[in-house]
Amino acid sequence: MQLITTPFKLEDIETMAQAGANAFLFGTPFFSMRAVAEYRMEQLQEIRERTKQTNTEMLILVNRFFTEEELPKLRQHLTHLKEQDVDGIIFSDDALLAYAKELGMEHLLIYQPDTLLTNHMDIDFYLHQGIKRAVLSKEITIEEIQSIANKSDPSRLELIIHGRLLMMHSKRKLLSNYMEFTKQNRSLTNEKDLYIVEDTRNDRMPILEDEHGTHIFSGFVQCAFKEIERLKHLKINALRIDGIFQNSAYLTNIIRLYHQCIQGAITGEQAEIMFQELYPHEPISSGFYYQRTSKTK
Amino acid sequence: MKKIELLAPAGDLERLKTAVRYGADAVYVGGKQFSLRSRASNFDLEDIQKGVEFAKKHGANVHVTVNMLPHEDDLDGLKEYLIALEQAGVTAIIAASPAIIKCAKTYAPKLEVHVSTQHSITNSAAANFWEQQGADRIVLARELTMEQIKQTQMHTKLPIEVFIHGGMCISYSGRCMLSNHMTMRDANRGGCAQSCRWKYRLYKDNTPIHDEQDLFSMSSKDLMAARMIPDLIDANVASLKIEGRMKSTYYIATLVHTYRMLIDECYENGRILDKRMEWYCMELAKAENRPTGPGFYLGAPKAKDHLYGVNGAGVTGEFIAYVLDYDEKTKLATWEVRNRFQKGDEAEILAPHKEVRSFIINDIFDENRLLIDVANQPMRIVKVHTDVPMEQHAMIRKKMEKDRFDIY
Repeated sequence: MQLITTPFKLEDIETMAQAGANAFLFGTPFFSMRAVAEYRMEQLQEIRERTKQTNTEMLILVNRFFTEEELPKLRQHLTHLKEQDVDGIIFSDDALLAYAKELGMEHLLIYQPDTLLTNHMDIDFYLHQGIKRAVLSKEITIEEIQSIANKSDPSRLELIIHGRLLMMHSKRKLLSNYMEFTKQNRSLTNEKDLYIVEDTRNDRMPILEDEHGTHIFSGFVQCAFKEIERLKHLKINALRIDGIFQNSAYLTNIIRLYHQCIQGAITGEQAEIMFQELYPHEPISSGFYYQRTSKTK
Repeated sequence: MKKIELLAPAGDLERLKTAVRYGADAVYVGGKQFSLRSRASNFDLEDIQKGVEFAKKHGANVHVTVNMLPHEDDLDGLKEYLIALEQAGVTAIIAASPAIIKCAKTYAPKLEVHVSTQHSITNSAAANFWEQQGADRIVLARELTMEQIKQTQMHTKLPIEVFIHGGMCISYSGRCMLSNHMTMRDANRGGCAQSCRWKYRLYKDNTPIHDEQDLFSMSSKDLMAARMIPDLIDANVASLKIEGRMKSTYYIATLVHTYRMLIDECYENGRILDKRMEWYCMELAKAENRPTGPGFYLGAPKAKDHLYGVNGAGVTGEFIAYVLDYDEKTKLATWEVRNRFQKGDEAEILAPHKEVRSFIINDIFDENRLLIDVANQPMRIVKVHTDVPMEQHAMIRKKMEKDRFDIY
C-alpha cells in the first residue's frame, strides 16, 4: 500500500519519506493545476535524485485541459518527462492518452478525471488502455469503492483519502470578474486564504483563482483513518493525501499517522483521536463514504 | 458539402414535434434510463419510437442522451436498453461513460455514438483518441473560442458538435460536484441543483470582501452564438446544438425557427448582412431565456457575461396562444390560450419556415361563440377573427420590445 502526497518544498521529500510517504506529486508551471508547489523543468533532475535516494516515486501533474494551439507544447513536455524518467503522470485530458500511446509511455499515465470514474467498467476501459492506474471519483460510497475494487484491479486503483476535495473547476476567472463587477480594484489571483459561504449555510469552502480559472474545494476535510483497515483488505494500492491549503508540518504529521495505521501500529480510531488532539478545529469528515447521492432533483 | 445540422432539445413528444416542424434537422431527447436532466427525461421507449417515426417522416433524426456517469448499481439493463434504442430507429446516442460507449458499439452497432460534452474535449488529440475508440462524433467543451473550434475541426476527421444557445455550466460540464456536496444530489446522474447560481459570501481569511447588495455568484448568462454561425459553417463543424431539454414549447419554437432561417440564409447568400443579423438576435431574445452572451466564442467571459443580480429566467407571458386551425372563409382562427391577451393587442405569428408577421387581435369568441373581452384561462379554446391567415401549429406571441441586454 502506497502513500502519495504533495510536498511543499524539496526538503519535504526526505522528511515525508521518513514519515512513511512512498510517492510525491510535483507541479510544473503551465501544465499543472492545483499543485501544492510548482518546480521549473531544470529542477526535475534534482527531484529525480532526491526521490531515487529515498526510494520514492516521482509523479508529475499534467492535469490541465489543453486547447489546440497548446498541443505541440504538451507533446514536447511529455517527451521531456519521459527523458526525466518520471514514475507517473497525472492527467485528465484524453489528449495525453493519445500522445502517450504514440510516444510509448502510456504505462506512466495516471488518469484522474475527478468526477468521471464512478464504476468498474469505466475504470477497466482506461486500465485496458495500458495506463499505470486510475484515481476514483471522490463522491462515491465505500460500498461502491469495495465493489469497484472487487471487480477491477485494486493494485491499479488510487483513492484520495485526506484533504480538501476539489468540487469544481471553471475556466472562468470568477473572482476577477466579481471584483470587476463590485468595482473593487484588487487582484485575488493565487491567494490561498479565500473562501465562500453559501447564503444559508455555514461551510467555509476554499476558492482559488489562478491562470487556469477558478477552483472550489469542499467545506470539509476528507479523512479516512477509520477506513484504512478496510481499504487494506480491498488491496487498493495507492492512497493520496493532498496538502493543498495546509503546510509541511501538518502533512508530515498526518502521513505518519496514516503510515502507522497501515503498519498496524495504531488503529484508525486511535489515529483519528491523535489527529483531533493535534488539529481540533480541522473540519474532518468521512465525505461520501457513507452518504449516497440522489439521482433526482 | 453536407449542410450543417441544427440540433434541438425536446423534453417530451410535443416538443419533439415542435422542434421538427419548426426546422430542426435532429432532436435529442432523454430516455427514462441512464440520462441526466431527470425531470426532463420523460421519454419511455414507446415515446422514443413515436418520436423517431414522426422525425423520419419529416426527414429528421433522433438522438438519445445516455449521458449518466453510472455508479456500480446503475449498470443493469444497459445492453437491453441500447438494443431497444437501436431497434426504435434512433440515429445516435450521446454518452460520456466509456462503458456505455463500448456497450453500444458492441451490441447496438447501428447506433452512432456521440461523446458528450461532459468529457471536456478541447482539442483534436482528445478527439482522435475517441475516434480510435469508435466514436462517430464529439461534442466539444463549451470553453473554446471560435478560432480553437476551427483549429480543432481542422485537425480531426471526427465530426464536431458545438453548443450555440442555452444554459451554460459555470464549470467544465461534468466536472462539477457542487450539487453533490451541497445537496447530496448527483449532478452526473441527473440531480444537479444548480448550486452555482446561488448566492455566496466571499471572505479573505475572516474579512468579508463581498458586496452585501450583490453577493458573489457563479451564474452564467445563457449562450447565444447566432453571430458565429457563418464562421461555424466555414469551419466545417457538423452540428449546432441548442441546450434546453427542460425548456418550453414556445422557447424551442422561437429558437429553432430563427436558427433555421439564419442557417438557410447563410447557405443561400453566403453571408448574413449586419442588419439581418441584428434582426435574428432580436428574435432569439424573444425566447424566454436568461439574458445571453457569447460564452467563450470571443474569449474568456468577463463580469458582464455573468449574472449577479438575477437568479434564473423570468417568464414574461408573451406566448399567448397555439394555433389549432384557421378557416379561410370565415377568417376565424382557433386558438388554445396560453397567456392573457385581449382585443386590440398587437400580436405576431411564429410559424414553421415563415417570416414573422404581425397583426391586431380583433374579436375574440369563447366556446359558445360569445364575444369575450379578455382571454385569460390557459388551455381554453377560443376563436379569433383576423384577416391574416395562419397555419396550424403556429404560435401567437404578444408584440413587445425587449431589451434585456443590460441585465446583470
